[in-house]
Amino acid sequence: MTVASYARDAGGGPGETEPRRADVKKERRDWRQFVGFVPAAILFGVFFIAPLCLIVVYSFWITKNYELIPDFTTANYKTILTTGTYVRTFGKTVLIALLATVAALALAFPFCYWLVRYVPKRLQRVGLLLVILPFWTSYLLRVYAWVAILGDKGAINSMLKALGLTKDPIRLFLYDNPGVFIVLVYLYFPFAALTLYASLERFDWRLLHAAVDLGATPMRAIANTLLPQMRLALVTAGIFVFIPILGEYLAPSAIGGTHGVMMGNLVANFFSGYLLPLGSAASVLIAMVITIVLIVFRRSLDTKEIYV
Amino acid sequence: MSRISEVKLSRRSFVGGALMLGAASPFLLSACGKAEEAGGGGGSGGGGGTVNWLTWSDHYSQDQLAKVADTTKITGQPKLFSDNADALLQIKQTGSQFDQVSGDALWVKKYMDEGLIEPFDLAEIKSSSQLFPMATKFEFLNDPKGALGYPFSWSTVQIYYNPDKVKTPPTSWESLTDPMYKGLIVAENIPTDLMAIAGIATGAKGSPYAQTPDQISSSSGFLNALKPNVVKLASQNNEIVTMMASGEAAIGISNLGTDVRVKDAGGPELKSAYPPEGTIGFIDSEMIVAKGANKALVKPFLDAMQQSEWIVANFTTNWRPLFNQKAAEALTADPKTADNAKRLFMTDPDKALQMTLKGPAQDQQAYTEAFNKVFGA
Repeated sequence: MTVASYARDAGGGPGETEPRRADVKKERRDWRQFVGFVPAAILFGVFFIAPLCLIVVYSFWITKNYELIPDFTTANYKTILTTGTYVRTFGKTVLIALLATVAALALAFPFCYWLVRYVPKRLQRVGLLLVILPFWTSYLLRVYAWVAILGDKGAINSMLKALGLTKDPIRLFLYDNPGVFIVLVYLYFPFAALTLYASLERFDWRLLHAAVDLGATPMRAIANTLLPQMRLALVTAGIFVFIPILGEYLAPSAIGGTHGVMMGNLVANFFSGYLLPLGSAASVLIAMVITIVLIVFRRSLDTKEIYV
Repeated sequence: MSRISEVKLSRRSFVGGALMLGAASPFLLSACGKAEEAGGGGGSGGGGGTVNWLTWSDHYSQDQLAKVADTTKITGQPKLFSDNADALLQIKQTGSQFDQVSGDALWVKKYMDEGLIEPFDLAEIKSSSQLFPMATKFEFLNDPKGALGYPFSWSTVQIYYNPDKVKTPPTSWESLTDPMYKGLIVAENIPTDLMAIAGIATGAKGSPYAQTPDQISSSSGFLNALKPNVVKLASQNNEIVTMMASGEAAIGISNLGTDVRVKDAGGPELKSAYPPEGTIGFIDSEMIVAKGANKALVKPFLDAMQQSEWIVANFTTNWRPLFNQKAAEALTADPKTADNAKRLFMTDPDKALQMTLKGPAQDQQAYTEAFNKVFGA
C-alpha cells in the first residue's frame, strides 16, 4: 500500500476524493513495489515458516524405538490436552506470562511517564540507556545473576547476615514460582519500557492540560486522553513481553527448580528424550495461544483507529 | 571525489543491492565458517583443523584444549549435552556437523545399530597403550569391525549428603522420599536415569531400563514421593557440585568424587551413602561420528587428549575414576593424591563391571512421559 492510498483510506489527504479506477489498476499491476520484501520473505520463509511447518507435521507423527515414524495421529495433542500435569503446566505458563506482562507494563508505564514528563530531554537518554544496559550482557548471565542475588550465599543473604538480621540463609523466592515471576519481569521490562517511551514521547501533552482545564480530574484526564492514544503502544508492549515468556525455558530452569517448571521445560524434556512429536504438539499449542492473542488484539494493532 | 551524502541511490539500485546482499549472505557466512574451521591449521587434509565434539563438561578442560591445539593444530570445539538420548538425537539430525561424541556404556551399541558411529582400530591411537587392558575388552565397546569407543571414565551414582544440614542420614533410595528431606535434594535432569533409579528403588525385576508398564507406574509413584524433596534438577553434574558447595542443596544424587569436588569448591565435608537396593553407573567413551566432516582428525586428537598427564589433571579436578593405568600409577605414586586415587577406585577398574550400566530405555516414550508427568506443574 502506498502512502497516498493509506492517506485516502484514513480519510485524509488534502483534496482527495474517491481513488480513480486507473490508479487502482496501476497499483495492482505494480508488483515491483513488493520486490523489497523478497529478502525478508526468503529469510522469514526459510527460517520461520519452514521450521514451523515441520513442527506441525511432526506433531502428527509418532516415535518408536528412537525412530520418527510418519503417520497421521492426533494422539499427541490428546495426550497433552488430557494429561493433568501437562494441562496444569500449560495453564500455569499462560498465567505466569499474563501476570509478568501486566507487572512489566505496570512498572514501565509510570517509569516512562516520569521520564518523558519530568526529566530533561538530555537526561532522558541516560534513563533509556539505563533501561537497555542489561542488554549489553548475555541473557544467560542476566538469569544466572539472579541465582547469585537470591541464593543462599547471594547478595541478599550475605547482607542480612552481615547486618546480624539472620543467622542462617533464608530462601527468598529461589527455586519456586515467585522467583521465576520476578526474573521474567526483570528480563522483559526493557521491552515494555522502550515501546511505551516511544509512544509517550510523541504524545501532545496539551491535550492533557486541556482536559484538566475543562474540569477533568488528573486521573480522568489520563484515562480519557492519554490511554486511548497509548493503546497501540500498550498492546504492542504487551505482545512483546507476553509472547516470548510463553516459550521461556532458561529462567524457569535456572530459577524455578522443580516447582517453577513451565511449558518450555517440558518441551525441552520431550525433545531431549527423543519425543519429537509430543514436543512438537506442545509447541504448536503454544503457537496457537500466541495466534489467538494476536487475533484478539488485531483491532488494537490497527493504527488508523487510534486517532478516530 | 564525491561525498557520501551526494551519492544518489535509486529505488532500482537499492533493491538490486539488497537482493544481491541477501543472496550473497549465505555464501559469506559459509565462507566465514570454513575460514574459522581452517584456522586451526588448514583443514583436515593439512593435519590440523577443528574437531566438533558433543560431550560432557567433565571430559576436558579449557587449558587442555588450548595446549592440545598448540601441539597438534587440532582445536577441540566442545558442545555440551546432559542426556544420552539428547546426544543421540543431535548426532542423528546434524549429519556431518559433529566429528566426535561421548556416550555412556550401552548407548554406544545404540549408536552403532543406528549407523551413527564408525568402528576404529584402537591400537592406532597410541595413548590407548596406557589404558588398563580390561578397559579395551568391554563387550559393548567392541564389534567385529573394530573398537566402537575409546574408554574414558566410569562411576556409580550414589547419595552424597551434608551432615551439618542432614541430621538423619539417608540410607537408601527409598529413604530419600522421607518428608524430612523436603527441598534438600539435587539430581541431574536425566529422565531415563532417574526412572531407572526409581525402578531399582521400587524393586523392579530385570533391567531398570526395560521396565514394564506396571513397573513404570511404580517408578512414577516413587518419583512423585521424591519430588517435594527435590529442590532442582541440574542441567550438568557441575551444577550439583555448585549447589552443594553453596549450601543450596544438602543431598546430591551424584557420581563418585562429588565429596572432593564440593570440598575443592569451598563447600562442606560431605558423606556418602551407597543404596542397598543397588544403583546405576556409567562407563563412558569417545566415539567417532560416521558422517563427521573432520572425523580423520579424531584419532590424533584423542591421542593428544588422552595422555596420562591430562588424565591425572582430569582426575584431580573431577575425582571420578578413569581407565588410564599410567595415570592411576602416577596418582598412587604421589602422596597428595594416593589416598583419593585408591578410595575412588582409580586403581580398581574391575569394580566398574559390578554396576548396572546406563543405557537406552526400552520404551523411551513411556519413560520420558512418566517423568514429565511427575515433574510438570
